[in-house]
Amino acid sequence: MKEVTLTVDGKKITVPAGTLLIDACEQNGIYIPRFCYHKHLFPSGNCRMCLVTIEKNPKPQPSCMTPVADGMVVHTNTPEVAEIRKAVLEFILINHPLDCPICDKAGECMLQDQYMEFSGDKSRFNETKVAKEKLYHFGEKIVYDAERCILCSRCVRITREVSKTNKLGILERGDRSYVALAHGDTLDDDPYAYCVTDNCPVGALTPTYFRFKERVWYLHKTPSVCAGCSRGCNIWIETKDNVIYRVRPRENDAVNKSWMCDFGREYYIYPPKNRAAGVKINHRAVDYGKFVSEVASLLKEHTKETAFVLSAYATNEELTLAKQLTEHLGIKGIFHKKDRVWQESTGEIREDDILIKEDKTPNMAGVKNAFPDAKDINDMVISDFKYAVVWGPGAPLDKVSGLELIVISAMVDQVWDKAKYNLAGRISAEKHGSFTNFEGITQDFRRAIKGENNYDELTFFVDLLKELGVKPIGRTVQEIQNAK
Amino acid sequence: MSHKKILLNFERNGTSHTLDSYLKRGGYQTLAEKIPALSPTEVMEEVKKSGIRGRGGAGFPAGIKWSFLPKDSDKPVYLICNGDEGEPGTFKDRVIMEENPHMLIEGMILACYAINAKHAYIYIRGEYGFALERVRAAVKEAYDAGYLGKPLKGTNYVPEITVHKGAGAYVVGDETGLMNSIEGKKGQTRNKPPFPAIEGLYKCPTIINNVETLASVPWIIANGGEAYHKIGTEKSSGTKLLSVSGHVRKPGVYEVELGYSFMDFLNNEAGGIIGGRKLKAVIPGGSSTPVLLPEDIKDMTIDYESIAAAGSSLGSGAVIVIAEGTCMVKLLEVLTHFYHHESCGQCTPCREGTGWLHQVVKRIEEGKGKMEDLDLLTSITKHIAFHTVCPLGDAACGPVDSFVEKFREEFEEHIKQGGCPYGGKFVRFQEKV
Amino acid sequence: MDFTDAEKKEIAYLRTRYPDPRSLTLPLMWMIQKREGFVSNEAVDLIAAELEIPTIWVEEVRSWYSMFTEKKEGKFVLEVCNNISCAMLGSQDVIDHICEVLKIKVGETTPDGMFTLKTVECLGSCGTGPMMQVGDRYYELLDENKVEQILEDLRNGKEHEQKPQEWPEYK
Ligand SMILES: Cc1cc2nc3c(=O)[nH]c(=O)nc-3n(C[C@H](O)[C@H](O)[C@H](O)COP(=O)(O)O)c2cc1C
Ligand code: SF4
Ligand code: SF4
Ligand code: SF4
Ligand code: FES
Ligand code: FES
Repeated sequence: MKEVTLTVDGKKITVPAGTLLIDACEQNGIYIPRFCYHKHLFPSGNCRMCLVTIEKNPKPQPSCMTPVADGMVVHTNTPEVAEIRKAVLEFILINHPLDCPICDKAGECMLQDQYMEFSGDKSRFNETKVAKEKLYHFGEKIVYDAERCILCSRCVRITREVSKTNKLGILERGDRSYVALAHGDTLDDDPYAYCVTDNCPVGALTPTYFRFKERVWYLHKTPSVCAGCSRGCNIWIETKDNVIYRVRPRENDAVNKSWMCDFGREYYIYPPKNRAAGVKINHRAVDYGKFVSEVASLLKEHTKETAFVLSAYATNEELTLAKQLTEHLGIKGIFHKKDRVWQESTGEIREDDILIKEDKTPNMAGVKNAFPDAKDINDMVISDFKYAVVWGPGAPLDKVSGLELIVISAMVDQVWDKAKYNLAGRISAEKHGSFTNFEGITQDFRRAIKGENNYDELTFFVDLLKELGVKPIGRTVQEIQNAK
Repeated sequence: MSHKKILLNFERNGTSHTLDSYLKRGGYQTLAEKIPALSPTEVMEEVKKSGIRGRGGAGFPAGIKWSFLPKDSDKPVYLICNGDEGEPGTFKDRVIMEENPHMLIEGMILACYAINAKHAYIYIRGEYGFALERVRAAVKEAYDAGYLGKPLKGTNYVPEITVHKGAGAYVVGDETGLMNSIEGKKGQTRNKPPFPAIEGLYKCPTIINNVETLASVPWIIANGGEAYHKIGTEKSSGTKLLSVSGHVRKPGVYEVELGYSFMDFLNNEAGGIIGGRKLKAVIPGGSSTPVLLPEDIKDMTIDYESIAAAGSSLGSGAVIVIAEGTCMVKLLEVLTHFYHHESCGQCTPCREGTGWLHQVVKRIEEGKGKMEDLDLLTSITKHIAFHTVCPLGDAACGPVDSFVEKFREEFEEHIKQGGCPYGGKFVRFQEKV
Repeated sequence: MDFTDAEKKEIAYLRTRYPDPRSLTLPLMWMIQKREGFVSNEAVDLIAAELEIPTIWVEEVRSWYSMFTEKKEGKFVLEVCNNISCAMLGSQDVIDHICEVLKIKVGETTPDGMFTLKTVECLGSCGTGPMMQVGDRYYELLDENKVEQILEDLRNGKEHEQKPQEWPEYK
C-alpha cells in the first residue's frame, strides 16, 4: 500500500495513504479530541472539536475529514488549537444542562472527560438556555434527552450505516434541533438500537434497562464474547456484586467493529429463566463426587453403547478435555447438535448482512475443529445406543428419549427432565474459555460472574479424567491453551 | 455617468419577460451565431478572458471555476443556477428572473454547452412565487421554441433545464446546501473539500453560479471576453447589479459599471439620503458584509478591490444605507436574530454561537448590558469565524465585529443609560414624493 | 390520502427530470401543501411511500425548511418581513398595526381561521419595504393604511395581481 509521510507537531510520521489525519495522529500517540468522529462511521465533520492547523491552509481544518497528504505540516498542540478546543467546549456547554449528578453517562462521558482535559474554564454564558424535551421515549428500549444532546449525529449515522433502518433523523434547525424518529415509530424493532446508547458521546441516549441503576464507576468490566450466535461479538460484561448491570460491545475491527445486536445484549441483561441447577441422580440431589464416580464407571462399562452429544456452547478448552476423554474411553458415537436454533416467534432475526448469523450458537466451529468426525445428531441411529451423554440444551427429544441420559447443561429443557443423571453447567459469562467464530477466529473470554449452584464443565471433565486415572491435558483454561 | 446596460437592457414595460420581447432585442442571437462556431472550450475561454467574477457574493472568477472540472471523469456534469437570493438587502436576481428570464436561460445554455452539462437546474427560493412563475413560463417557451430539449444547431448537444423551488432557508444559498436541497435533503452544507467542481450534485462534478453571473454570459460570448474585460476595472470587470435599500430616496436595482464612485452612485442613482438626512453608515454588499462609516466610503469605488480596501466587501451588491437617527444596536439585534434563525444547526460554533450573540445584543439593546459584553461579543465571533463548516458562521460575525468596532460608543451608551437612546425602535423617515 | 391523477402525471414527469427520486421530496411536498395548505403526517407517509425513502427523511425536510407547515393555519398567512431594510422603514409599526386590527399576536391565528400572522426574514423585497408575503403574492411598500386595506380585500376575496417591483421615490 502507498504510504505518505507528514509532520505532526514537529514529528515525522508515516501512514498508509488515505488515512484520516485524526487516525494518523492517534496511531502515532497524538490523541485529537472529538465528538462526532467515530472510526466505524463515515465522518460528518460537524462538531469542530478536532480542528487542527495545517501549514499553507488559511483556516483550521477538521482532522476527521482530512486525508493525510505527503509533506503536510500539522499542528495540534499550539495555543491556537488549544483555544479552538476550549471554545468548542464552551459552545457545547452553553445549552447543555448541568445534569452530571443524575446522568447515567457521568464517568464515561466524552463531554465531561474532554472538558476536564482540554478546558476546565468557567462558562461566560449568562443568558437563557434553550429548553427542550428531556424525556422522549424512542420506544421501550431507549430514552432520549434533547437538552443533553450535542447534535453530533452519531446516532443518526448508526441507524443509517450500521443497522440501515434509517430510523433516526434530526428535526428543526439551529439550536432548536433535536434527534427524532418518524411519527409513530420506535427503536424497538431496530436490531442494533442499543448501539446508539453506547456511542452517544454524552448521556442523551440511555437504555431504559440501565436508567438510574448504577453509577458506571462502580461497575466491574470483564471482556467476554457474546454467545448469541456464531459471529462472536466481543463484549464487555459489566457487573457489581455478581449481577450483570450492563453489556456493551468491545471494539474489534475484525469481528464486530464497535457494534453488537440487541438480541445478544438482551440475552445477558435479561438472563434466561430456565437455568439448570444442582447435581442429581434420579432427580435427587447427590454429592458431586458420587456423581463423578458413577458417571465414570458407567462410561467405562458401556463405552460402545454410549452416544456422546457435544455442545456448541462448549468452550474450546472443554472440548479439548472432552476429546481426551472420549479418545481414552474409545467412545465412537460422537455427535454434534445445534444447541439453539432461530425461533421466528421471538422476533429474533434469522440472519442479516450486518452481524447476525443463522447459527445461533457460539462455537460450532470449535466443535468441528476438535471433533472433525462427529456426526450430526439427526443422523444418529438410535438402536445403536443405550446411553447418551448429552451436553448442552437443544438435543432432539425423539433421538434421545429412549436412552438412559447423562445431561450436562446450563439450561433446563425436556431432555434435562428425562435424564437419570443431571449436572447443571455454566453459561459463558460464568466461565473462562474461548470460542471460535464462523470465520475461524478464536477469541478468549473471562468469567464475569460466579455460577450459582452449578458446575464448571471444564472442572467436571478434569475430575472425570482423574477418576478414570488419566492425567488431564490441563486443569485450567490457561494450562490447556499452553499445552496446545 | 451613463452606464452600459448588459443585464437591464430592456424597457420595464411589463412584457420584457416574454420570448417575443427577448427575441426583438436580439435574444438567442448569440446562440444562433456563435454555436457551433465556438467550441465548448472556446466558450469557456471567452468567459475566462472576460474576467467576470461570481455575482453571488464570493466573487470567484467564473471561467476559472469552470476550468476546475475534471477533464477525465466519466461522470455526468451538472450546472446549477443559484437563484436563492437570501442575503438580506439583496433583490437583484429577482429582477432578472422576473423581467429578463430568457437572458438567464440563454446564458445557461451557453454555460451548459461549455461544460457539457447533462442537466441544469435553476434553484429559486420558495418565496419568489412571481419569479418562479415567470422563469417556469420562460423555460416552457424555450422548450417549445426548441432552444431547450433539442440539439443545439450543428451539434449533438442537448441542453436541459429544470426549475427547482426552494422552501425557505438562507443557508441553502450556499452552494453545497443548495445541492443537498436539490437532492431532496435538508439544505445543510457540506464540508469542503471536496469542492463542487469535483464532487457536487449527486456526487458528480458540478458548476454552480449566481443568476447574474450566468445572465451575463450571452453578452460575453456575443461581444467577446475582451470586450467585457474592458468594462470596469482590471480586477473587477463588467457591470454589476446593485440593489439599494434603506434610507435612500430612490431605492431599487441599478446596473453600474464596476469602478464607479460610490458617493456618485449614492447621490445620483440612489438619489441621496431620505429627507436630506445625514448618512450614518453603509452596508455595501448585503447583511453579511462589514458596515462602513461615511469617512470609509468617501473615495471608495464600487469594485471588489476598493470595497475590500475600505474594510468590507462587494458581496452580492446589496447596498443598505443607514441615515443618522437609526439605532445601530437595534439594527445589529435584527441581524443577529437573522443568523440565529438561519443557522442550519449542523456545526457547534454557529449553532450555539449565533444564539448567544443574539441574546447578548438583545440584552444590550434592552438596557441590560454590561461593559464586558462588548469584548464578549468579539470573543464569541473570534471563536465562530473560520471554525465552522460553511461561511454562514463567518457571515454572522462580520456585522457583529464591525458594528461593535465602529459604533462602540453607541453600545456603551445603551449600557450606561440602561436603555436604548432611540427608544428601542426605528423611526420612519420616509415620505413618498 | 393519495395524489390526484393530475398530480400522478406530474410526478411521472418529474421523475424524468432528476436522476434520484429523493430529489422529488421538495416538489411533492409543495404539491401537497398547495392542495391541503399544510403537510400532515399522512402526507409525509404518502411522499415517503411514493419515493421509497425512509419517513424520517421526509419529516426532516418538512421541519427544517421554514416554508413547510405541519399544521393547518389561517386561510391567509401574513408573513411580514422584519429584517434589516424593512425594519428600518417601519415594519414593526406594520406588524403592531396588524396585531391591533386582527386582535392577535405574532404566531397566532384569528378565531375565524382567516388570518395567521408571522414575522419572517428578508424576502428579497428590501427596496420596497416594509413588505409582506401572503401565499404566492408579495405586498410591498406597506404602511398602516395600506395593510388594513389589503386585509379588507383579502377578506372579501379581492385578488391582487402580482407585478414586477415598482420602486418608490422618497422626499
Ligand atoms: C450562507 C450563504 C448564502 C449564500 N446565498 C447565496 C445566494 O442567495 N445567491 C447566490 O447566488 N449565492 C449565494 N451564496 C454564494 C454561493 O455559495 C456561491 O458562491 C455562488 O452561488 C456561486 O456563484 P457565483 O460564483 O456566480 O457567485 C451564499 C453563500 C453562503 C455561504
Ligand atoms: S443523541 Fe447522542 S449520538 Fe445522537 S446526536 Fe445527540 S449527542 Fe449525538
Ligand atoms: S450478532 Fe451474534 S454474537 Fe453479535 S451480539 Fe448479536 S447474537 Fe451476539
Ligand atoms: S456554519 Fe452554521 S449554517 Fe454553516 S454548517 Fe455550521 S451551523 Fe450550519
Ligand atoms: S470530530 Fe471532527 S468535526 Fe467532530
Ligand atoms: S429586508 Fe425585508 S425584504 Fe429584505
